[in-house]
Amino acid sequence: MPRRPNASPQTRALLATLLTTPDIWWHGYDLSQETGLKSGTLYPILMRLKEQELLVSEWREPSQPGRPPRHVYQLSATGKALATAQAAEASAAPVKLKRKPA
Amino acid sequence: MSGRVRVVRRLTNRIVLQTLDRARGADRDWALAMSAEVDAIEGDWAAFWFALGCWRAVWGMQPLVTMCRQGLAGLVLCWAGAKAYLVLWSAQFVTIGEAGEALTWIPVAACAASFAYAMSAVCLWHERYRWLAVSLGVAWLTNVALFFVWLVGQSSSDLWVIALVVEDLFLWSFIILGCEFNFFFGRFVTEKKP
Repeated sequence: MPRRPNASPQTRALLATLLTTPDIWWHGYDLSQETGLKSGTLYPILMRLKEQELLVSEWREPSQPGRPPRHVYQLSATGKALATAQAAEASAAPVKLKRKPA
Repeated sequence: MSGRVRVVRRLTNRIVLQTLDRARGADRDWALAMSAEVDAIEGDWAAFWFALGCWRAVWGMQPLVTMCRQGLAGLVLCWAGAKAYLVLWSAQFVTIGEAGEALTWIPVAACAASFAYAMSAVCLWHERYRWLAVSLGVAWLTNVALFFVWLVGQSSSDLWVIALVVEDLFLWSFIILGCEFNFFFGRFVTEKKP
């Protein structure tokens, strides 16, 4: 049986996190903290989702002076639809991802 | 303590620079995004581990690594590696000068190598890695030509060994240069087109 795209626990956890506050723009580090995903796992997923147009991203000016602009991410309309569908599936079988204690 | 922290931050900056240096084309934008994120992290160790992950993410984008992740392409590269091993193995018999053993193993190695080259070239072409497919095709033709050279003048075993080494160097230079060229001039050489 062919593997479903974007069905890995990590991707699902990321989509679920982005879906919790769909109107907020997320920073990479915040997403890493929230999902418990390491940057080496998180960024390839972000790139893939962006390539599939499930995610929109843009550069934002920093709040503190002297800092470089940061990349922010949000679910696109298609991404929201996919995340919602996955959340519905997950309610039957929730995604379990190891998270570091705060 | 603060000195140690400064060392960690310096190390983090080195990793970020390496990440930026390694990323090309569209990946560069992502590398910049990662480096900006590292810059925004307050904790030195948190920034260090985050930067290390970013470096790994960028390293994972390299064409050769991407190819090896794909079963078929990885398999054909292993095949080519096995061929190189066979060639070296047969070469030791030739350099020893035991004509009997050399005569047994040279055709075996040559046939295995030819088979590996031809299969690799076909598979890579099918996988749309055109540059590598052409490189392997050229290497295969060289291999066949060398075999016939050896067949005609069996006494020139030293020439055979030198030619095989040159051929291997040629092949691997093509593969490595192909991948490096890809970094510098965009993803059109080994990129798998949709």
